[in-house]
Amino acid sequence: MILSPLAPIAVGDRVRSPVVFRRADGSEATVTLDGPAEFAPSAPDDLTGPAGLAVVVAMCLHEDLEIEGRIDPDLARRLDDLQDLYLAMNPQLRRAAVRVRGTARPGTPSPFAAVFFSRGVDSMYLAAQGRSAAGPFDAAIFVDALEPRHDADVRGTEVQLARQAAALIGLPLIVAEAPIRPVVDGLLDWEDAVDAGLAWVGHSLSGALGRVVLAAQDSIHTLAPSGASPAVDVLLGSSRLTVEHGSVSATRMDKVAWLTRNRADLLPLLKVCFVENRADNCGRCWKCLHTMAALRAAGGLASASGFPDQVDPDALAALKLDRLFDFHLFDTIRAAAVAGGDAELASALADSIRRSAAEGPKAPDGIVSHRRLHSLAIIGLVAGDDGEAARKADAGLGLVRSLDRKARRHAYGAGWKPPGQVTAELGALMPVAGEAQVPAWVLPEGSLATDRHGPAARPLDPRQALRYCLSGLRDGLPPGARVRVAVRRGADVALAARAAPPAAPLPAGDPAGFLFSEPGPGRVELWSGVHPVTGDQLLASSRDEIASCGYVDTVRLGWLAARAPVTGRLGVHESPYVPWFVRQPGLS
Amino acid sequence: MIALDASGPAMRVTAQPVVFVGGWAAHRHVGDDAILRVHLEALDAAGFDVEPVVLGTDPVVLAARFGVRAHAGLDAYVLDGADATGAPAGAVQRLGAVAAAAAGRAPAPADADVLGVLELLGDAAALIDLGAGSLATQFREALWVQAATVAAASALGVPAAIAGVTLGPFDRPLDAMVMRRMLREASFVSVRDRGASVAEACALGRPDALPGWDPAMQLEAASDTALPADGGFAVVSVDAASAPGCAATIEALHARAIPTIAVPMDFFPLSSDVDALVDLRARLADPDALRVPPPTASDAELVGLVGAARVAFGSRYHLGVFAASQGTPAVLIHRNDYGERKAAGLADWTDGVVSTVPAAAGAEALRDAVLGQLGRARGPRWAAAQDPLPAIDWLAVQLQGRAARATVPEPR
Repeated sequence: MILSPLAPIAVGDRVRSPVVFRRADGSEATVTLDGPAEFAPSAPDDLTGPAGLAVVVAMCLHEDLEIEGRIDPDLARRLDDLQDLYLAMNPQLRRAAVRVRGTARPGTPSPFAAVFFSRGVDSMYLAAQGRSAAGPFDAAIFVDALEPRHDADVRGTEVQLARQAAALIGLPLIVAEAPIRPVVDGLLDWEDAVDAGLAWVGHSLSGALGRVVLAAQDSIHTLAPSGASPAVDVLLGSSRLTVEHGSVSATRMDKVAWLTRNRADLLPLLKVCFVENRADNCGRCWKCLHTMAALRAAGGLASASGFPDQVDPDALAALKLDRLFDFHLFDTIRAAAVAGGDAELASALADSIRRSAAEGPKAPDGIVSHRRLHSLAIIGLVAGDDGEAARKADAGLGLVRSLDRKARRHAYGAGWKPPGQVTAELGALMPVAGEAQVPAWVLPEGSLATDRHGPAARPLDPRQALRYCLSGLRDGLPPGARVRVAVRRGADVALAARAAPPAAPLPAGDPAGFLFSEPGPGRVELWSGVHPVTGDQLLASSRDEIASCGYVDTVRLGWLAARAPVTGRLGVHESPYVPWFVRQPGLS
Repeated sequence: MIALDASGPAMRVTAQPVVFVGGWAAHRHVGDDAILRVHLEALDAAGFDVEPVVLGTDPVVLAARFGVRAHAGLDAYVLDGADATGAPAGAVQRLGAVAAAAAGRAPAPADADVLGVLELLGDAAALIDLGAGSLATQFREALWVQAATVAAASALGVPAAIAGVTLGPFDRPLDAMVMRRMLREASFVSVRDRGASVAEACALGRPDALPGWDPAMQLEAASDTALPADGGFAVVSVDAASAPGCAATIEALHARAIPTIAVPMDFFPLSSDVDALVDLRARLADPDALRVPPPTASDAELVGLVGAARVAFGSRYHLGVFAASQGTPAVLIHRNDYGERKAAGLADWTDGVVSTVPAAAGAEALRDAVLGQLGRARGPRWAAAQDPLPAIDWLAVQLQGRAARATVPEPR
């Protein structure tokens, strides 16, 4: 990967600083940070800011990194340590060789410090404290354009509300725009890149800030491998900017209780929800629900007007806890509910804890955070599977094929067994995009799509339909059965003529995993074909297997890792009779 | 309170300095000067055993004008290389360097002014920042220099007060940060309005800022002025930008046989009020409608002049302060957020004696407002005793505290 600076653009009293991330495959993304000109460091070719994040991205891509600019000498000395830390968290990453054009002149730090401020519980609490271990805050920083779901209206409201909250706290607000997420999405869980991303924002303001402070989401009880960690932050600073992680002494419940007791005026401005395009909170997602539970336990829910005024205990009880962090979080809220005499809330939280512990964690799907990998390993050890769950995540996500006779189609699972009779485990998708770069989604009806090949409406060819119906009569079945097959095939044709086109994947949704785009040792091909009448998708390891079943539009989707983490058995398990196959002469 | 000064050839006893900072320049600015002058007079009257020392860009002129010791401030060092915005590259770092040196965390910059200020503050009983009235983005360079001075005092353990100022507006986050730090480091803050400045102080983490009148209200009118005292005239004090808009008002007053006397209040060579008033006079159909006397009157004489007038108007804030102190109905013009904040803050105290009008409302609006004030009854005259200077009260407490600490016997 190559990291290159473009010339900064002055717009009024602000400056836009574009940086290009160019991958080895030639694709590139330009990320432009925008901030007050007075805060910008003076050297335009100084790439100290994005260097930390670029190293992490290069490690995910298994690429080396060339930085076509200068970086701060202090940061340059710590990039190896940063790589060590990320490798320790995730052995699937690869160490990147980093080449830098030169080192920047060490700078004199500004005496001013600012706290990143999203209006979430952690940053609201920290900002309201007014200081961190290293000293008081002089300002708050709101990072705009960080959330990909927010449109222009919501972004405007977010800035306005952040300004309002900062004024209540007594901190001037610095607004920086940082559309960083596209560089990371598809490669890493955002939690594992967020501090490196925010450090970039901090460096972009280091002309006037000497210290930036990131609120801790963890308490000392929950610290775990994560890109949002004091262990990471201490490595991301420079000679002119200290990147400080906020105190980990308070739990999230402690913070909510403190805000409720001491700064109830800030509760209406709390914002924790990022699953919808809105400036307040949906009240239904995981983060909303546990925050509402904590607010209720602390007696602050009625004041938190950005949330619904009631939290549904059944919804809380139904929440599935996956990470050690979640268990501790729920337990602290439960304890507060017990202390406050809220038996209903305590019971709902206890139900969730009990059920989640009994069921064990969900099988990982899509991109898995380092924190979750760690939790899977620990929970697996405790459950006696010797870390099997975590190893499965490391091994990739087994692509399992099953035959659903009732629905007259095949279904596919990425890391799990789909409904029906399992007929093959075709290999493994990669949970994160390293060398594997082709995102793949499992669609609701059970088929697999990639960013290059999705399901498409296929017009019914009358000749193929007729051949399909008649071929049923030729199959080696008893006469009565042949007639039933032919009639059923006629019904398939009638249904196919009326069928709606299949749904396309949501590009914004997280992919289930990633395929390799090139062959390589330990990889197997993945082919896809479509039934000419029913539209059923058949995935297989060879083109011949698909063609022999009478499927058409055969295409190679990519390569899977030659592993079978779900069933332990790579390849075809069974070859049962499939009533809608059209066997081709000469092919088997 | 005494200190031993061992810098001379023979040890001598001197009074401890009380350092004043506020952005004073070599040229005369009547309002800024009035603020400092009343503090110096009050300090003298209080009889504390301290010596006032004033920081500014031209200590020789300041010493001559106020009759006290003066010292070059941090202006030249902090603002080295200032650009058009008044925020030079590296000024933040230089502010930090002064504070770090004062705290002993870094060597002092090799700059004579900085070394002098640090030495002076090191001996000082207190620092009183008078802000030259305002701490705002409008005069951000003055804000930053004062912030560096307060930061140095704070690092040296010298108590600092920010007294009698208007806060804001702060159009840039960096200025708000500088102000916030300054407010945090000050042991006492008073502001000269009870609206915007109090809100600004709260928004910058200082909800205990004490609201009060502008300190220059304390300036007493000269008793021996030779100017007419029959109330048959108006006074105008105006900057160059606002001067043309005053012509219609002066002519309307002239038509009512009320001459207007010009009161220049800012004598900065490049934008002197005198030049603006001479230009204004030239615009009038009858130049005799505006009299522009030579600018020799003392501040106290100007207060007397404003007090004798039937009505006062213009854009100079301290014309409004002097009018309020004398009960003379007045109209203040404001042309931007900064001016509006000051004017509105003053008007809010005066129960209508001072009213405000935006320059954008036009010359006729100003004329109507002034003619309206002309028919208004005079307000009460200010009695100095009714609101002693908060900074001097604060200083008294500081000095008493130090004295008390000095008499506590050492633990055995």
